[in-house]
Amino acid sequence: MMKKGLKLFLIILAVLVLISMPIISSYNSLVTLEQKVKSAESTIDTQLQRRSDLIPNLVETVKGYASQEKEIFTDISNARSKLAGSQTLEERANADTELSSALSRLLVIVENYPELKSNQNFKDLSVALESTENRISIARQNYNEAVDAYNIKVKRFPGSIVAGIFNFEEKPYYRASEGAEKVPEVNFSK
Amino acid sequence: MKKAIKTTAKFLFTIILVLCLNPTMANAKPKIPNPTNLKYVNDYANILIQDSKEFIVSLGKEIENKTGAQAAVVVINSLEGYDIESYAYELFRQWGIGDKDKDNGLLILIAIQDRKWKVEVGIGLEGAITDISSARVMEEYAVPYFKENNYDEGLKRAYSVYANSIAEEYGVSLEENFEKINIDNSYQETNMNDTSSDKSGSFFVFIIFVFLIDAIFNKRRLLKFILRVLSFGSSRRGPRGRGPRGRGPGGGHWGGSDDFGSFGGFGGFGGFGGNDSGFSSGDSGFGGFGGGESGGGGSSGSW
Repeated sequence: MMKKGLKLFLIILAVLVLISMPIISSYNSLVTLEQKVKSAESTIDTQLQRRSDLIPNLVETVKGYASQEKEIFTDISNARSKLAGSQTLEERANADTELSSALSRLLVIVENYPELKSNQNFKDLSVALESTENRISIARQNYNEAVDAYNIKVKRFPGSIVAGIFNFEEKPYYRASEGAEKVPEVNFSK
Repeated sequence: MKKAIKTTAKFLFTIILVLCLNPTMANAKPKIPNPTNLKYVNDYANILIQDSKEFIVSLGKEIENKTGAQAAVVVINSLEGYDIESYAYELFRQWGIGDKDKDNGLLILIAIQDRKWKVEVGIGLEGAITDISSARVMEEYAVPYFKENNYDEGLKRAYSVYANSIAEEYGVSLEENFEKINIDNSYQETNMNDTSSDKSGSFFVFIIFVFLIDAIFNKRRLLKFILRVLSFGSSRRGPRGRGPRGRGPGGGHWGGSDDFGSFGGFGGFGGFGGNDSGFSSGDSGFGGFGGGESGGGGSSGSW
């Protein structure tokens, strides 16, 4: 009798261990993946901020040579404040796209001012801007990869069960709205 | 029964094949060559002379010995349609230039036919080599030579300037005459970073492998053992019920030392992968890259 009780206990214990092990490991990997998504998102924010900080300097430099191009300066400053005020990832992606497009128009304008193009300060700023665009695109790519890994885990069996129990939700990709996905190419070396 | 085993084995083998082949499909990213055994200078376009390679290798070695930072030069013929930023980033990431924790890697990539250069700076070196300074160095020291197709001189000069910046950052000084070391000119490709596939996938393969081995060499003792454990609760037979089948006394079927011995032995198979990659990375002579990452710092341009 005693032995039977012990056996039953052991069986239940074994079953519990067998069931809980995959749940624990699934939960842990979901937490890890979610954390990666968060850190990737904050990298994007850092780089967007970095670009945003570069812009006033660039605009000032351009103004010194092309003060009459008022419209573009307004556009840039509008897009910049939109980016600063953005709450969701989608808003940020859209503001970012708008800013990129305004910047690319600025760079077209710059073509008409050879003196500006040869200004050392402007050259440096454009290198910094170009590198930051590159950082943003890498950060974006890494974010989407992290989201991909996370979403796959959330949606696929058996992770989906654990995700359901602990309320892990699918994350959005970093994607700008239609028609403006392309980041303008910033290149002054020509 | 034997036929059933064979069919199962065949089925499992197919699954393994599919699982193994899967990662090689769907590859939209640029195909990055493996690092050469010169590590610090990788001339896939075959345009650099022996002298400049030796210079870069000895300087690169000195920097790594003194600071732990890794600076690599890569010369390729063509970007094959990819933009140089993503090519450089992908290469940097796959090779893992720089220390894994410090991310202090530097990559100078030039594409001869495209006439483009890119300097990719690891996160840990962004203080020593800023985006702007990385561009200025290339424009000032390398591009004038590149324009005359003198890649040796341009790369040597730019590399030295970056080396000095790194040395300054770490507070060390570099010797005037660099220690020359004999280097082999042949390009043995070394597999530094196995692009390890999905871990759960390989674990699955391992499990199947264990069962396959079990089925072939171990008379499926392991499988029977597991099945028995699974049906333990529902089975009315006590463990002693198997007594008449006459395995050793008291030990029970799966408790026998031979079963445990062979099961434990499977651990050895996992070891193969590790040994293998350890051997090939030791092959390069300088040790592999450290697994560093870049956040996209640096600059690019053309000539």
